[in-house]
Amino acid sequence: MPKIQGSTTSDALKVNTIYGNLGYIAKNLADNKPGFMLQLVMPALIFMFLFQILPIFHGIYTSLTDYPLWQGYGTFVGLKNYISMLSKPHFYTVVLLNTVLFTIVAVTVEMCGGIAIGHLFNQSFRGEYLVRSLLLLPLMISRVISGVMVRWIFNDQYGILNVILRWIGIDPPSWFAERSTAMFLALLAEVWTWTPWYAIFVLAALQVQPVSPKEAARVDGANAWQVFRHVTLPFLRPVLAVCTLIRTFDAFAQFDHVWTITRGGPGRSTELLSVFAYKESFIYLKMGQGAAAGMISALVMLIFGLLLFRRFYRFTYRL
Amino acid sequence: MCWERNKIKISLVGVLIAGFFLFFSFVSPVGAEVKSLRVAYMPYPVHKQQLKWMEKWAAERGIKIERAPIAYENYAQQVAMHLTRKDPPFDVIWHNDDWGEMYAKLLEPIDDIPNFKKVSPTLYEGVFPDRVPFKPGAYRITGVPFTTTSAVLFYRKDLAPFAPRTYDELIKLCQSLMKQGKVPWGFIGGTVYPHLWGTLIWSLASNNVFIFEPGGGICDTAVIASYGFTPMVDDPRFQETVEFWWDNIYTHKISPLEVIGYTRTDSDAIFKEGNVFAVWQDSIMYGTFNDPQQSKVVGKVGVMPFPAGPHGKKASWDICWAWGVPKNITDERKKIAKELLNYLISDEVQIDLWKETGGPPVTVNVRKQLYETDPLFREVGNATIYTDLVWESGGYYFAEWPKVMMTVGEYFQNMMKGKREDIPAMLAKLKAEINEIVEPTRERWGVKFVK
Repeated sequence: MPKIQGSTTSDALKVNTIYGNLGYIAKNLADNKPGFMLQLVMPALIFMFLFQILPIFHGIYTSLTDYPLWQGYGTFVGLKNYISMLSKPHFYTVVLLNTVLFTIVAVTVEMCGGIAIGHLFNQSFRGEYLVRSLLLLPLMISRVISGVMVRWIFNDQYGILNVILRWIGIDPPSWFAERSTAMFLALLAEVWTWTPWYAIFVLAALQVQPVSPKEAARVDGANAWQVFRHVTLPFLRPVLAVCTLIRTFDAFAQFDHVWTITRGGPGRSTELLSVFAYKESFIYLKMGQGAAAGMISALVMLIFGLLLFRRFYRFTYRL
Repeated sequence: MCWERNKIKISLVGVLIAGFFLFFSFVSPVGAEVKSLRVAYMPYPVHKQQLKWMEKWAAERGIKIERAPIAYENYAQQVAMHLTRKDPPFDVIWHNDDWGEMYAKLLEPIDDIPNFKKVSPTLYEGVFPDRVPFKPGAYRITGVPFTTTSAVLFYRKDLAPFAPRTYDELIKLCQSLMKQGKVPWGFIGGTVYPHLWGTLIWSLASNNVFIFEPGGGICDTAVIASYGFTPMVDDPRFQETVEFWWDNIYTHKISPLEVIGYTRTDSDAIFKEGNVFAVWQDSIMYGTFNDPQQSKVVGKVGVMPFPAGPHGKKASWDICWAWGVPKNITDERKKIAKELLNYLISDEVQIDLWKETGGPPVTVNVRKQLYETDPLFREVGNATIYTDLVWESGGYYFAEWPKVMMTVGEYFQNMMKGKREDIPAMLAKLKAEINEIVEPTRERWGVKFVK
């Protein structure tokens, strides 16, 4: 923290007399005292410790216990919960695979859709502000509600989509009875919710993009695609990198849509890591195993996140 | 200076101390006069009727009823978690047979309330006991029954010349009605957890088989424990029942494949829309199916016991729903809560329960009175509590039951999607998995695998 130009201890005391603690803070900031800085951040640190760090350690401890929710306490079992979970092929072939696929597909489609919509709205037209506001509508709707909406729209008996399909002579598929279609519906809801989020960021970036590089490229004979590929896209990279990082973490931990739409079914074919952990904790009431699933999920996410972060950091740094 | 520096520290400590005092003043109402009772319930018609009477009773005593509605899907975990607290946030909880073992040690014995003697013991014994394994009588009852919900077949009596009594009759009737274009589908129910009852589980009972030995409608944990929690999913009758559903989908085509993705809300909605001939549900839905605000089949709904499978009998599955009182609340609160529950099984409230919701009463005298005076009660009663064979108990209530039920449901979904000839192999696999799941149950109950 730089020392405020021209400030002295006596000046600070004067201010202190007039403004009380405010002056005291200003003076200490000016003197750049480490102890004082610590005092300032202490409330935030205490808050973080109580509500973030402590629960993580509590979660780690719980994952090492056999803790039925209805019993109210757990007994230490070491790594039993981890071994039990990691020794099941289902964990790798279904849960982990589904989670990774879900994340990659959801984020990729959202990013492409977001770029397309961002470009589409990056021009003047009548009612542009209204349309841009409406774009945010999916984000304002709770994910549980959008999940239930999808469930009803695709209901085989009276879902509006199936009614339309039958009306035009197409036999609708069994949406919730097959793994591929059930997963598609969960992805659809996720993409519908989050594509506008990408679009807003892309649009914001495009609005401040300098015009001259694009014009220079056009003068040099670049077509629209080449302008986008070699001028606009590199410009968007930092925004896309941050958005993708945030969305990847979020999609990796996705629960609401999958639970409301498929509940991990049919069978366990659309189960994600979050659904797996939820079922262990709150359906089977085995808090220890649920916490272990959560810890493994966090670990996988951490590794995945670090790799992504390294990759994206390079993008942003280059610019 | 020093004083100024300490000001922040002192302020922080002050805020913390004030926070602690504020917190404990909310959570420790020891010795306080009871001015409110907090009720955890599922927002279902029968519960709402009960709350209406609770509020009437409470208002006369200057007590406020604080409602805490919790969805069925979240109920077990939320209430279990709160019951283990030293000061639970509820004074009265809805107590379902599904959670008997989990809740038993956390609830107050309530069989000392005066009106309890009017309730038929067959309704609650084996359902809500704080039971010591294999020591009959060495337990107290922890649930005050307020209604029974019978598993029944709701069907369109305007379409059917007769009520189907067997699987075969049901299939033929559905096919005939579908051929005439009267309904798009014949027979559905819920499958997705926790609604597997509406398809596989009740049809197993109808075919005199079940997930655990000894089969039939026997669900008393002590009885199941005496059989070593032995799964009977490889029993030929079990396979026959699974094949019954497979055939309904692919051979007889009376049920859509989507039935494996239905919750009971889905199947109810389809029945109320008039898109199916018959649905399996709890009898307490009778009022909802006949509610003009919600249903297109008002006045057309017939109710009957399970159609019997090849090995089954005409039977009803009569499940008792109750209220419980947490063990960890103060004595004053327990006393008031018990007075309230005593009132809920008074004749006045029990008769209103039937009239308003179609929920059968639990007291013997009211049942008798209604059977003699009310033709509708006779119709529903003959389909439920007065059938030839009534299993007056509930689902399983050992702690691993949710995992067993969910696993069976997942296998059922996979079997319905697979080939018919693969069913035996999948059932063998399911048996191994159930055995693994119930191993802790066996340890807890001190029993061994029999077969």
